Amino acid sequence: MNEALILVPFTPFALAVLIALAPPLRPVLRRLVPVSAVPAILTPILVGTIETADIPWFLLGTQVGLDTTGQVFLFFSGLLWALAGWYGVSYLAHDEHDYRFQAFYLLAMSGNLGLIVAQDLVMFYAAFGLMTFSSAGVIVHDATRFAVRATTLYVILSIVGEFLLLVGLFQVAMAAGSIAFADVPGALAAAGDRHITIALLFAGFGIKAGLPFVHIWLPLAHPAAPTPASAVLSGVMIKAGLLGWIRFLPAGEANFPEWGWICIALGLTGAFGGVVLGLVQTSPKANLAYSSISQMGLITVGLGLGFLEAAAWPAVLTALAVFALHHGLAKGTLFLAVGVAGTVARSEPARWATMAGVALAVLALAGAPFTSGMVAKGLLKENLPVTGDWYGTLSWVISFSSVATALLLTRFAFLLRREMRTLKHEPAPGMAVPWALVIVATASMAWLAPVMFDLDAAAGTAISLPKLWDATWPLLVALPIAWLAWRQRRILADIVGSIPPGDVSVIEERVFRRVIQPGTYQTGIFVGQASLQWNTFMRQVAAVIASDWAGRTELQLASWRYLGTILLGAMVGFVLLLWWTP
Amino acid sequence: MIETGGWLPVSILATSGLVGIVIFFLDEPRHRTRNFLNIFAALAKIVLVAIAIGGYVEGEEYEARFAFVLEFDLLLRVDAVSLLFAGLSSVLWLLTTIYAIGYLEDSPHRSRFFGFFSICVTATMGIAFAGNLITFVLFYELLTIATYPLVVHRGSEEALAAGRTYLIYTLGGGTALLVGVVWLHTIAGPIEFGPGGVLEQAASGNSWELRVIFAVLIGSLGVKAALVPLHGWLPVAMVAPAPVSALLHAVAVVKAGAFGIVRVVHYVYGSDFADSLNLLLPLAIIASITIVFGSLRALAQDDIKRRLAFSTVSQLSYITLGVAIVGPIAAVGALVHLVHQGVMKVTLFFCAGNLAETLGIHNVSELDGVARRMPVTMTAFTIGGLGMIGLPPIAGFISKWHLGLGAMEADFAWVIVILATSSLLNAAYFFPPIYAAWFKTPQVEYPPAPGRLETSWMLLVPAAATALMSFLAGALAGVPYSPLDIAELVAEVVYPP
Repeated sequence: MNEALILVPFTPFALAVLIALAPPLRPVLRRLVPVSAVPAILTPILVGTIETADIPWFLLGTQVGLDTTGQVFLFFSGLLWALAGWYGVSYLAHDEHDYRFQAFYLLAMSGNLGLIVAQDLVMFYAAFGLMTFSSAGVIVHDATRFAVRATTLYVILSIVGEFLLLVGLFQVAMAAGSIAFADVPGALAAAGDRHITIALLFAGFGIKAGLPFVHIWLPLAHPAAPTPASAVLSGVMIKAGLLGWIRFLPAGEANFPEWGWICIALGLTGAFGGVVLGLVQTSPKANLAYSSISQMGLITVGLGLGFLEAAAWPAVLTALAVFALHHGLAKGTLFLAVGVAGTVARSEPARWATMAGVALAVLALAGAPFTSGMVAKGLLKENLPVTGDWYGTLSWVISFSSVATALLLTRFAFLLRREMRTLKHEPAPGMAVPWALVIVATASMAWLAPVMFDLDAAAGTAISLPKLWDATWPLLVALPIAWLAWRQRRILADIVGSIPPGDVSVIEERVFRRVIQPGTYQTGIFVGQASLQWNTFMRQVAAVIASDWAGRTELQLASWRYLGTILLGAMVGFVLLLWWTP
Repeated sequence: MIETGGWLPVSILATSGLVGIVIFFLDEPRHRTRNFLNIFAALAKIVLVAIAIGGYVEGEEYEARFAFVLEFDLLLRVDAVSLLFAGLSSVLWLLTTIYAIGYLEDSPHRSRFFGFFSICVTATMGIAFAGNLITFVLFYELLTIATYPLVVHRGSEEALAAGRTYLIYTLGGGTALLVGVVWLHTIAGPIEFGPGGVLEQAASGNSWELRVIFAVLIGSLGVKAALVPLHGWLPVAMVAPAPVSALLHAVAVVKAGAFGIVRVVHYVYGSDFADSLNLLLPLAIIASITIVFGSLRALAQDDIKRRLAFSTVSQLSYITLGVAIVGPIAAVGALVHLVHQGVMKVTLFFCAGNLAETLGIHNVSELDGVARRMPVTMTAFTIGGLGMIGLPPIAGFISKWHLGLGAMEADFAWVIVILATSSLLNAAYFFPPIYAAWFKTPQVEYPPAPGRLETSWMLLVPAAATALMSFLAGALAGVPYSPLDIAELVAEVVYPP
């Protein structure tokens, strides 16, 4: 029965195929988009963990199963896919290409859910690829210049990511002599050339996870996509990169201090760099995308803690899972708020209600008391190395990141408020309900999930005065700064907008467009000319030898009917003759 | 003499061979009879090949041996690798025949076309079941000649020029092949294919001679297998009608070359023996150069069929590369790609033909928004293209996975870089047409569909069927009798565990 877990990713896949193949049924089928994620929500709750089962007929013989980490990921991913899908049913109701969007959305969902239940690296890689390339179809949806540019950058980086992953996968599969996740991290920890492999996998998944320097697609793609797709891109799909790290990398197998510090350094760069770049954005979605980079930075720091201290890994894993759940739901709330804001522009109470929902998610991300953020950050801090001078510093640095996040998202609320005044969309009924449900989930799930999935999250959920203070003071620091910035907004106006979304991508794109693309193309042409000359040479040589002969052959072949028959007849005759010869 | 079981390979050849002759003498307008014969023979061949596969797996042996000139025998024998090739050819022959009937509807010279088409497949089957080198050479040459009328079918100046190029290349290759085979015969006697190679016992000691002969054999087979720099005929030959290109690129001609390389390395020299003569590394290098070269050239082509032709040059060498790497995993990769490349490339050529025949589109730059008018065709094209890149779960990934893992096993880590680079380049030339077709706005108003379907069902069904096969061959690779399953069977024979 455990094999039936494959039905969780298969359901949205089948629905996508149906939508593509059965145009008359589309108006009904599109309403089923959110429903197709329901198995993903219910399985981890109702069934619990599922032992790994073999599916020998699928791909190279694959394995599916659900461990505790998988349970948490499947639950929050399914929840956000379902609610954003529900939201999307209304959001795209009048879109010319609604069905194309729904089909790609479902395929990406299928890939995302598939990689969570995968217990071997081939299925993980397959599902990861399905998710990555299907989501290109939703990012480019509006086909504006901006969307096309964002998608191009996204696809190029994704292909580079696939390239790195593939090389890493070959190495790790060779080292493990198996494709099962049960064997992979252990074998990688012991492999001779492990550092190259770790680097390849870390970077390959890092592209998805928004690691600094390869993050450039993210601030372009997340805003370019239609809002429900932005929500799942930022909320759950970037977590697939994290899950890749968890499944493949040998954190917890042995201490890898060098990788620990690389992760912490890159993570902090992302955590603060993302905020700095995000603050100067003028579009609310770009602001949120940078916030995601910043939050994934904290997650990367968490991974680093696991690399530093193998013994701490089980606890770190719990912290990472809860953090992913917390950020996924809260970020989903904020992205979906952008669409809701556009539709409530004309009603004052609705505007206030929207801002209240936004405020809740902002507070959660800033780690305010009694929010999911407090739980997640509490768990993360619990795993800081107890020895050495770094402990205190890191703890402070993480708290300061809450200050930074609070500032960044206050700016988001400000941008959203401004957007509400300018946007004049018709209210689309049906977006408010799923959005409200995401808010409810954001508020409750960090507390419920440890109970539902039997996680040891006491360090996060326990309430004590020092912890409440720890969660409160960053907000108290952030508030006056935000107020000051608002007062001085005329002066700051020059800085705002000075860095376009995608920051260094502008330079990288220029390099690509001026050097790599024409370079490859020119190489193709050059090779072509060289080979043309070679062909001419060959033809001249051959012509001297064979021209006369070829001419004659053609004449003979003009009577094709006879030639063909003679040819076959001769062969048959041959055979018969030989057969009767003793 | 024919043993009882020998009737099977002989009749597999005869189904298409006899039909070919009958079709030659059918008058042009009798298309119903012709179509019925074609389809009937194709179905019969599939049934016979299926019987052969079932029997072989059960342990039956099928062998037909006739005394030929001197001490040579004509030998048709069913073994695992021949079934892989014959299975591919028989299934794709049926689909290509249906496609060709639809494609050539109301055009002249159909008796000539389908007659030679049948002989072509007969020759391919002969190559598949050939049990020794001389039988192989015989059918290999028959294939060369039977394909020529198909290449020049349109009779235009361009087609005749392409046909000339084709003949010069392939007859040159054929002659060299004969020289190589005869030379090998002088030092080792008649060579019958044996899994794991037969030369080590027959002719060790003549290592330099064996090396030169290997070069001659691979060089001559490399013409059809389109190894750089012997690939020149292939992009030129794409002027042929789409079903011929499909046949040329997927089933018959290029595959015969690649299959020959498999035979020479695994069934004549034996990969361990060839490796001990230091022959395989150069082969792997040539294959790698071809892979990258073909992709680079494909990148710069606007004509869809030319782009696909260069893609064939590149993809075929995956097979050669897998053969050149010692070890069972790489061998599985090579053998399974023999099938996968065929199914995926035939899909792409069917789609190119559909676009040309329905809307008159020949170039990548004209593809904008065409998916709205021809969704099924472009879905098939997308599956084929993504499969070529090697994205799971489509068939191409299964090949790439085994090649990469095999390379790791043999300590050829640089091959991984070649494979990954090739994927990158494949993506660079398959993504733009896919993107343009699905997401761009059409530049021109396309004529409306003739009926409920976007084009004739005879053009649509084969493309959809092969696309589905490309998908299933990857997603369900673990199922018994999948291409992967049979390729693994072959690898077990070649590298006994």
